[in-house]
Amino acid sequence: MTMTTEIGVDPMTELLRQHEWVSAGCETALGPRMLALVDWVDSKVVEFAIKAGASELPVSRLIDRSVLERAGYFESFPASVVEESDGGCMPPATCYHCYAKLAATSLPEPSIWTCIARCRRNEGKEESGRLQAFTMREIVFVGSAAWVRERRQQWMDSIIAFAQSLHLVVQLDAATDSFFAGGEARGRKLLQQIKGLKFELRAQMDAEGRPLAISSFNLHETFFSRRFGFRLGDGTDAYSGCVAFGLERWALALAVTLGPNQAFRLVE
Amino acid sequence: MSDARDKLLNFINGELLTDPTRRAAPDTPLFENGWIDSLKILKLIAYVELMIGRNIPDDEIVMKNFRTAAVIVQHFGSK
Repeated sequence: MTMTTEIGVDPMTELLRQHEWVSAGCETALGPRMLALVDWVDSKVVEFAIKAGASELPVSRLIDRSVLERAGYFESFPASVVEESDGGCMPPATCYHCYAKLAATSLPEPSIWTCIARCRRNEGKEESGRLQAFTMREIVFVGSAAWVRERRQQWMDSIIAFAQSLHLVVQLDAATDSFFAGGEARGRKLLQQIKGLKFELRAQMDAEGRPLAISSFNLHETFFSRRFGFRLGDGTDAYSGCVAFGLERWALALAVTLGPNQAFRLVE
Repeated sequence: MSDARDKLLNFINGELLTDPTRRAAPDTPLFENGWIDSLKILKLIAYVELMIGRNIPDDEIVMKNFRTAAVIVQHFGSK
């Protein structure tokens, strides 16, 4: 694994020197070449999504608080949403937009959507790549339990292969969301763990080999379809799943693994 | 061991699966049919903790230890 660049400089130091990764307080800004790398990763994911039959779903910048309430977000992550002045929220994840659009519908066939949004989370941990505001591309699939589980497996296989083709050093780990520690949320976390509902693709981000999740692969069972009232056309329960891509994390993983200059050549 | 297994099954069938059409046998998968929700899993874990006389760390709460009532008793034993 390359953790020094072609000129022998620590890649993170090089990114900072080139003003391609600029930290200011709790915010991080990306330079033009890192932003181009973010767009390049996104274009690849969209390509995969379209090939898989996904429809692009445009979403708004803010999400109604009522959508997050309906999704049970505040029960599980009570301190994690940043309110905006006009009453909307920066979404903590892109896929909530999708469930809101599906509310009270009946799906004639299993379906896949993709959407992208700027998201915000107040995460306590401080480490490279863990941004408070970030761009998340998601693929959402809704169908029968077996169909959704099969889609997730296919996405895990193809995205691991994609990461490895880019020489990223990755591992796929079982994971849980960082639910609020008390009450029923603990039960949701343990159910997630016991049923293998969440996997994360983690990439090494520095010479010490610290991994950071760059994608997650999630099954929701009927949680969102029941909350938002959408069903399959035959009247049976709709199962859902999603794949999330933290695009800045992907770009950073490429820059620190290949070295910034090598990574930037991907977009030339 | 079968005593512990029977007591656990009585708990599962009597306290967790309140719908009379749902009945677990020793080898019934507990997590593949939506019978156990986020509240019931907490009750199940609390019961097993009482049964074995110790707390169960979260990293032991995985499918290979909780797939069925028989597996739970085989893995955790009893007091």
